[in-house]
Amino acid sequence: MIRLFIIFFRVGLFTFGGGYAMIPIMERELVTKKNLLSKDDFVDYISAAQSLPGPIAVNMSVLLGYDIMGLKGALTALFGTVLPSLIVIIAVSAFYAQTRDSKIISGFFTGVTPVVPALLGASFLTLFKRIERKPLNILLMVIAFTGVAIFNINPIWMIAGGVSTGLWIYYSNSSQRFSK
Amino acid sequence: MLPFIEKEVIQVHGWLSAQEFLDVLAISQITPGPIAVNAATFIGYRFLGIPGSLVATAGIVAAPFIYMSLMTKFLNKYKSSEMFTRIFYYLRPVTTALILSATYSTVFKSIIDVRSALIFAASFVMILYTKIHPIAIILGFGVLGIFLF
Repeated sequence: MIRLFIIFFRVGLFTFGGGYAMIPIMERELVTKKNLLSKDDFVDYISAAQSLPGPIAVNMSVLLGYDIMGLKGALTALFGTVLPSLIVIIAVSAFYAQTRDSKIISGFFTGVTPVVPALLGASFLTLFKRIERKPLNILLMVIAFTGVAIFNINPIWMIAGGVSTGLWIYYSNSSQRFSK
Repeated sequence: MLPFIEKEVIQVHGWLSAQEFLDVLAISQITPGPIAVNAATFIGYRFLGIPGSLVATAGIVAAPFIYMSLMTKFLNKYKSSEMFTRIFYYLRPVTTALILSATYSTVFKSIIDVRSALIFAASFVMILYTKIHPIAIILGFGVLGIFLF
């Protein structure tokens, strides 16, 4: 349990720039290094985490914590993810005036900022490699990307679209089976 | 989530001015951790000190915790059913595309000059093709940034 806490504490401490950027770190810690869950399960948890409200990093840690160790694991993971924010923000607020103008801190963040899209791009590629190249999958990707990136549509509609596609395929398959 | 916080904090309760809220956002973005959690912690601290930040953090994670607990129960029960296998199968391309659009929207904001473009390219290659831990890459470029900028 302490190990689980340390893993998520690290994830929380090094997640700059919001939810998706922690995917490569979580993947490395939980899937590659510790083999605590499979790659496919990991991807499914990302889908699940973003389909309900809440910060994705928080949702992910709760889901993964449950998967690994049940309720205790979920609480541990959540606490681990949130604690670094708490510590860092309290420190920053206490020294707000100094940190605001610090050359060292601003330099550090200027250096880290371009790494964020690199982390995101890398998580995209890992996921992309695992998707079967079927027309419907490609179509879903193109629609979801243009909808969110170009037309600024709320991602929840794209998720709803994915869910409906799944349901539609499921029911059309089962009705075919029934009619046989 | 941030638009909700903005509305509550500025318009409904008048806790912060619009300018102060921008400061909160800037700080939440550059500090590690989920942005919404950081913002809540920071706003909580501004008004009630450490107890305030604890309460605000607990508040912002409570609902997600409940949602995810319910979802886990639900997934454990139905995840291996054919219907859910289908749903997750078609959610994968959507999730992938959402991550691509997050990449797309951050890439233009964070690459502002030659140096940041080089950092982006170098870190991207390192994440994909080397075994270096992503945390080491983040820290490495942060330290490099101290000397470069």
